[in-house]
Amino acid sequence: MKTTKCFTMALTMVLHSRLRSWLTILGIVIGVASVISIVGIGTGLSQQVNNNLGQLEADIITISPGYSKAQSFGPPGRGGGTFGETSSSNQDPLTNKDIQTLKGISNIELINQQVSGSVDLTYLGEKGTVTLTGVNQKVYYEITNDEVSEGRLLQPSDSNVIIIGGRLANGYFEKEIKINQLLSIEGRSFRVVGILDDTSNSIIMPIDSAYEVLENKEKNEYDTIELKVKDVDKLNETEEEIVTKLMRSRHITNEDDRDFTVKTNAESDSLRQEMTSTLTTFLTAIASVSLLVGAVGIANTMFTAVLEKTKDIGIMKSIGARNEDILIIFILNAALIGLVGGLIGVAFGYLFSLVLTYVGLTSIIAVKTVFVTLGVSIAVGMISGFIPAVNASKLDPVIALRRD
Amino acid sequence: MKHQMPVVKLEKVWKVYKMGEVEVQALKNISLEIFENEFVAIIGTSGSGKSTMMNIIGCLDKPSKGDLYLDGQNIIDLEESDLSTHRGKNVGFIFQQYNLIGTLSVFNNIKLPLDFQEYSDKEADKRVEDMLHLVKLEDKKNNLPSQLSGGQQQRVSIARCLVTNPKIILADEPTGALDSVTGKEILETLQRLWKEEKKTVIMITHDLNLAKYASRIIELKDGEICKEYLNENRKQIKISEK
Repeated sequence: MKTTKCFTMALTMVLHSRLRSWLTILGIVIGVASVISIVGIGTGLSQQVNNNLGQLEADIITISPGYSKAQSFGPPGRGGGTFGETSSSNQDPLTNKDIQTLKGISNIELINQQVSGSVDLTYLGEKGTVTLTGVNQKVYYEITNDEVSEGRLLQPSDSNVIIIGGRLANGYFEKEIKINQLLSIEGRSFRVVGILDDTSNSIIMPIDSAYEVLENKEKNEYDTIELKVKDVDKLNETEEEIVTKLMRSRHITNEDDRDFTVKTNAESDSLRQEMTSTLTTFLTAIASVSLLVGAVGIANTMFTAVLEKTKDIGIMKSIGARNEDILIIFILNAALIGLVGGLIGVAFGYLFSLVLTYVGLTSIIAVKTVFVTLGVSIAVGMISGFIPAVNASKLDPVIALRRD
Repeated sequence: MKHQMPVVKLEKVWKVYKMGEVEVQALKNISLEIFENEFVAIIGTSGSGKSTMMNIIGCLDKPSKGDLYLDGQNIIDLEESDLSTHRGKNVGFIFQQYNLIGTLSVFNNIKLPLDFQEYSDKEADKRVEDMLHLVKLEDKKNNLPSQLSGGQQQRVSIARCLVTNPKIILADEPTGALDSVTGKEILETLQRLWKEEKKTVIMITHDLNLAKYASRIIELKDGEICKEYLNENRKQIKISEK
């Protein structure tokens, strides 16, 4: 029998199937809709994290005090933090001496030393606490990938001015903070010259001003040093050279005594991708459980369908159907249940995703996700229906014909 | 007739079923030849082995021992798939309970045997139309079997049986579920297929009155052929008795 004929037979069986088959399809619908929604939420979350942390430039190297074998997550200084075990107890700050050492490395183009910490601020009688980063404003505008939605970035000649995060400007306080308005930070007034195109609460100001408002920060001591390399192809060699020269200048002879961390953005980026991917995989695994329940439903329905159709199988065999024909018809029947359930599930998943977006969550459904989920749904149907289909194909026609 | 090659030949056929610990001998050492363009009625009481014989002749079941030749070919060693193909091409079944697929229309029920063979849709559709004309059900072709009377359903079953142009027509109690008038019509149709279409018809029945439509009557008792008659000019001439 041609596959198209088998498909027509299978389609007729699904269309004439009883309520139970439609309930089985509902099981698959719930499974697929869950997978689509949760993967959508996971993808949306990943994109939101990426947007919030910013796109990391490949030609940037960051140095920070302390040595951690585990890597830092996100750009340092503004919301990025380290996780994992810090193997060094000695955390001598980075100093001008280190800056001088770094200036001796030929592939380094720009050096942006930074300090950061929490500060109290006041705006029109309202108070808050946010993270402040002091940057070397002479190179900041060249090294950063920050973008402003209004105003401008810090310029080399700036003092007593700040740029602020998008959410701090609009949403943190009751009244919106606009360009040229004054903010009081630790009792000192600063004029807003730029608003970042992001959703952060951070403040960026020239490093000299930052020393004046941040507590426990000594002048010429830095929390991070950001470097831009000239030739990105020599990034790894440059990283190694930095480690060697800084260890020498800081009189460290043993790797175990290292008290600073050097890392490239490529490492941070891959770690971030790994984390978001792990999160999405975890959520998908949870959603897949409902798809598994749907698969059990298909198997159950197909076993029952074989019982219901025993007489028809006997009739078909008596008029020339081969075992292979019956096998293909029943497998296609199960695959169709998977496909129909998958298609309706994708539609419901998409609708649910729209509802989530409406209530403020980010959910992104990629075309690839839709096709993979549909493929899995059909495969689940075929696998679940395989054993019942084999049973159907092996039915003895004499016994099958006797069934009422 | 004796010089012709038999269309069906059973040679020392045994069929033994196991029912728990007990062995039931449904057919015992049956040897039988049925020739082309014969109308053979196999009669017997319930449990005599006539349905088992029909299943074996129709390739739905295999003998426990012995040989079965269809059109000269021993089919005992054929694989299941080859047996199905053989059955689809050479044997047409007419069942007591019609055995139509309830979810398919009359047209698609008649077409189904052709779907299992390599017919083009165009050729298959033409054959089905011819069969619908033959059984006078052109106006019912889109109906479901449940929308037809018993006689109409049996005519659909006959059309489905004939659509592949089989050599052998196997009819198992074809009038068993019909009233006497409709039953007579069906038997006359079978006679017409035998006399005009030159088909080989094998009919299973428990009713001796129906068997009178056949050209030869074989009576089974306890799995053995006990009597055999030739039916000539409405007179039954006994040709053997055990």
